Amino acid sequence: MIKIHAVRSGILNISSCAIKPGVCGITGPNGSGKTTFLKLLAGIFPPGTGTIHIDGKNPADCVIGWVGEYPDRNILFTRVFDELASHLRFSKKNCTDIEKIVCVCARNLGISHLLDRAVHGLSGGELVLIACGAAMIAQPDLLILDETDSHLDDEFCSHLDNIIQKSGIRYVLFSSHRPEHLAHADKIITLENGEMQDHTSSQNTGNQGGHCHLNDPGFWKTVIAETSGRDTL
Amino acid sequence: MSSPGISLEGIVRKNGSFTLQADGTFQPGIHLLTGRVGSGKTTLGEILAGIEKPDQGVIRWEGTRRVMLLQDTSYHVSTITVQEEAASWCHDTRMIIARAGLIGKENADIFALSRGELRRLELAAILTGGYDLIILDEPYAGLDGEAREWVSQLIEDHSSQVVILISHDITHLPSIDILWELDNGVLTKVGSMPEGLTRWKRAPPLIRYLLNHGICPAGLSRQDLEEAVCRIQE
Repeated sequence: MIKIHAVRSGILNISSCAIKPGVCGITGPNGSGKTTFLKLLAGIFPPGTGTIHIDGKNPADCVIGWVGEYPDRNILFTRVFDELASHLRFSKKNCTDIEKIVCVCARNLGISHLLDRAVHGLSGGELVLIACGAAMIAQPDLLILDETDSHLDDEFCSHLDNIIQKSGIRYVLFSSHRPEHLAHADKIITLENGEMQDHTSSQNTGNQGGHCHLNDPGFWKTVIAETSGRDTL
Repeated sequence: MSSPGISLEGIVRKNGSFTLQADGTFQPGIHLLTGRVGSGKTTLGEILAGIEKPDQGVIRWEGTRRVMLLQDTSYHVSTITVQEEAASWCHDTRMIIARAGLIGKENADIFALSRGELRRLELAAILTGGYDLIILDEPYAGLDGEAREWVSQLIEDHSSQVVILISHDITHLPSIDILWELDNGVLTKVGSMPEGLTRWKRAPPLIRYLLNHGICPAGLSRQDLEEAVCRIQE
């Protein structure tokens, strides 16, 4: 369980919040504190006051994977293989093991054919897969995707969602403005002016009638369920 | 004065094993350019804007001024404050700042703005600038619902120019005149609304869902889609 207690930091003011293992979506208007929330959970900085624990540990003592809106800004190496291998190399694993782990990771993401390619010149979608691979290869306790869906199409998001679910990562948190992507979450947190608005499971949001369907993750769950299956990448 | 449009004849652009091929004319109006991730939308936008050159083919363009909103808006920034950035576009600085909703923040450091504020500023500058070809690559990315509606209203005011919208997010669009699709690097003119919707090869899940239920929306604007969804729920 992720437990947040009496946290105040910048605009954020959260008295209490618990997040179960699984996929959790964070949404809310621009400037409502989504990225601050994610940075606190990643241990990038500690909260001004209050406590955050991930399975009883401080975020700074956990392994965290982070993928942002423009993944190519965080890419360090020129060759895809080297980028995927970076965490393993920095943690001084031996070369034979590294090669094996990188190949399995690339296969799971469907990017084996890119391993020897230069990162420069790849498409936006390929860069996202590489950034996710580089984050997931560390087997993080918590994987964070900060508006990574901004430039991705719906099928691509479903594809990414499947890969992440199969990865067995205990906690996945993503921020998004798009109800059609929030529909993939087990739980949705809405922030407004730094405070938590509601705290519901995406299953029971239900149809709200009138003009709200397109904002309702529950409606999008129906759309996804009825149209998935014939999608190919 | 509206421009006569921009036409592409036998455009070919190669990048490794990927080949972009494009033929077609974009007349004044609002065009939506769709396609999966990696299908060549941004490359085509850059060629239309004149930022990139094709390997082969001819671009016929009789207008005078063209502009492209880049996906990563921070690449537009060339100054330090909001006031300077708005002035750098050499148009009505005050109107740009007012349209972007940034009155009172004129002296703010441009990188102290939120993602959404910066995008609004660059969009307001582009749409105030009197350009006759406007290419917007993912203008909704990173914006909340309210800001998306603001973008669409601003775009609708410019339908006498050639506006080419590149977007994966179809839920907040303005009224679209012509739909285009890039599939594996090949550009196809799908058509006008609503007939084009039934010919959309890689239509997004919402459109497939509506068509599966026998409902064809009148168009792709937010209102058209909401009305179509309501017809299903009845």
